[in-house]
Amino acid sequence: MKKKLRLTFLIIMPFTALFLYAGCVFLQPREFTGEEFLMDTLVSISAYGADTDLLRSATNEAFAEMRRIEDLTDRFDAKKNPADPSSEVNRINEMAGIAPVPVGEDVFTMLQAAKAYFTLTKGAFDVTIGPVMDLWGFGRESYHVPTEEELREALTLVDSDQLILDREKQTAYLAQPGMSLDLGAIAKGYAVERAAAVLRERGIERALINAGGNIRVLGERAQNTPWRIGVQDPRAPSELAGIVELTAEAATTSGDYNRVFTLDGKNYHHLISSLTGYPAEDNISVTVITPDAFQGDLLSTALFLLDSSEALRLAEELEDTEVFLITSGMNILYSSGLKEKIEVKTNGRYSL
Amino acid sequence: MPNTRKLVYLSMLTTLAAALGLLETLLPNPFPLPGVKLGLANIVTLLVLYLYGLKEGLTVALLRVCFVSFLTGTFFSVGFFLSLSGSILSTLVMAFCRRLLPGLSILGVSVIGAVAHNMGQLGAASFLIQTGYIFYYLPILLLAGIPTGILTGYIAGLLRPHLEKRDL
Amino acid sequence: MSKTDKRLIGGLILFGLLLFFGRGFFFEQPDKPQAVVKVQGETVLTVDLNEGESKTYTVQGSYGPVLVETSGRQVRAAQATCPDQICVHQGWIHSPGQSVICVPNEMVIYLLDKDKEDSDAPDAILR
Repeated sequence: MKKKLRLTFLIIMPFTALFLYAGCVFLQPREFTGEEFLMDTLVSISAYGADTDLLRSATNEAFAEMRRIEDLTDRFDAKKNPADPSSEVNRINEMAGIAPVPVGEDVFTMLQAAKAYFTLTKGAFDVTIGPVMDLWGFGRESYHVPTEEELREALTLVDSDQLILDREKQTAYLAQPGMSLDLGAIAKGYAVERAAAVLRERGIERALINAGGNIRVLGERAQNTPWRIGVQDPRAPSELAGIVELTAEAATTSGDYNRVFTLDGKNYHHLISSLTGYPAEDNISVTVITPDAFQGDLLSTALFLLDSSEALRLAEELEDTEVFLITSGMNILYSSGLKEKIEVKTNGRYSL
Repeated sequence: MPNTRKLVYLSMLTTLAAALGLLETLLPNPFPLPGVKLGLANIVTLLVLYLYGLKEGLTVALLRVCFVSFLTGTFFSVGFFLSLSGSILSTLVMAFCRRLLPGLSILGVSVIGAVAHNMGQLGAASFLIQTGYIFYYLPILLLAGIPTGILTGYIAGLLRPHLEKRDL
Repeated sequence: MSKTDKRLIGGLILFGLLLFFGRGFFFEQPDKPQAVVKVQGETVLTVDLNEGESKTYTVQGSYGPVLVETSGRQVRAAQATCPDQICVHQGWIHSPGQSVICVPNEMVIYLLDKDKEDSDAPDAILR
């Protein structure tokens, strides 16, 4: 009996060792990471798989796709001429009150979704916010605080009901002269989602796209292990306010600490409510987790513009949507579905 | 004709060592370090050392390294020199310790051989790559040699009585 | 396993562990903590970070010069000419995975520190 045991051990032992050894190797696939400055931020794409050449070419294609979306939606081109002819958004703005402009599938999809969110947020989120953004100087980096008078006038030109989309002819038309679109809140999310689609089409199953406030992951970090995504502490850039777990999802943050200017001791950020014309003040950081990065970008901006409680309620109502938000009262709130997937860090600043 | 018998047995053992060595090269190295390997071929070197002696042990080890490198097309490559120095050092140290420390069983000899193998590879690597940085991994390689040495020593210890019965 | 075997193995483990924990003292470390500065994807500066040492460097970004400062195992953009000053406001970064990004300068400062890398660190950070 003892001899048999020994023999079994003798046979099993080396094989177990071999399998463990081989396992260590095959569980470590290759990684390719590319980085590019795009859409006013540093975008990094890490793709994982067995074939490095495929990872490289797929990543490059994903960047090319993002550049294409950037060209379509850019309103200002700081480096080049002010009116970029390849930007469909610029063309729609130029033709405001004159004529409908034929647009591609991408811009049409973005505008259609933006209009849906206009309704959902009862007008707080409005893609025709262009005139107000110009007044504040966002996008041109020539900031100033507009007078009430100026704002009231500009707000009359902000109305998504007057953005007329024609599905059949695939055209977009701003009904009033002086109206203008600003896709700043949604173009990056759309571009990130397109990049994810390109990677998937090329057969990449595991990837992480990081465009600053927009993160999209494909697959899991490793078998049965989700990706761990940190949320920057809005009041301490080197610290985290929380870590969320993602699997094949997108996480998007809108914060009052990005694109912000200070005048006479007061901070003004770029997330402007189209109801008041002023930066929204109820939240300081809103992170949403959605299956899709485009939807995530729309929602994070839209929820930021709402009251905290209203934002939380809406997130609970929407399917496959979770929210993690920090209010200006330094309270951390999150939706019920996040309970198992979040690690909150109050950093001595925030309360739950 | 005891010599023919010995020759046949040694040839078979060399082939076995080469086969085990080859099997190991088929598995990619999970560590970015030279030297951390299971060292299955060491089972054979160990047995030959116990059944015959140092001269035979060294011959088998040397032939094994050459065979494996011929078969994998890595003759005279960096990896070849690493294996060569590791195997020679390990065989010498094992024979030496066996004589010097009679209380040591085949298991202990195997452990010291595995550690010596890793040290020999590291020494050769630092010589070939010309960097002292590599010695930073010395403690890891030393520690890694202990379990692999126990494994190979245990297997050799189980095989040894069977082979000794056959009057090689 | 004989007594001598056990002693030998025990001795080897002890010796190995001693070397392992003292390896920083005995041997040169291959993965020293470093700060790496890239402009337009090209590495323009690599600094070895040593405890208790402070250094400053001037890096030419796409927009203008950036003053990069290290202190111990931390690094920051101390001064820059870019209009938004986001990189300067970010302050010190102290753990690997963090980075200072300056969009107008197309510059990124990374921190590489093998010792501080831990499995709890997130895969990416939402900014």
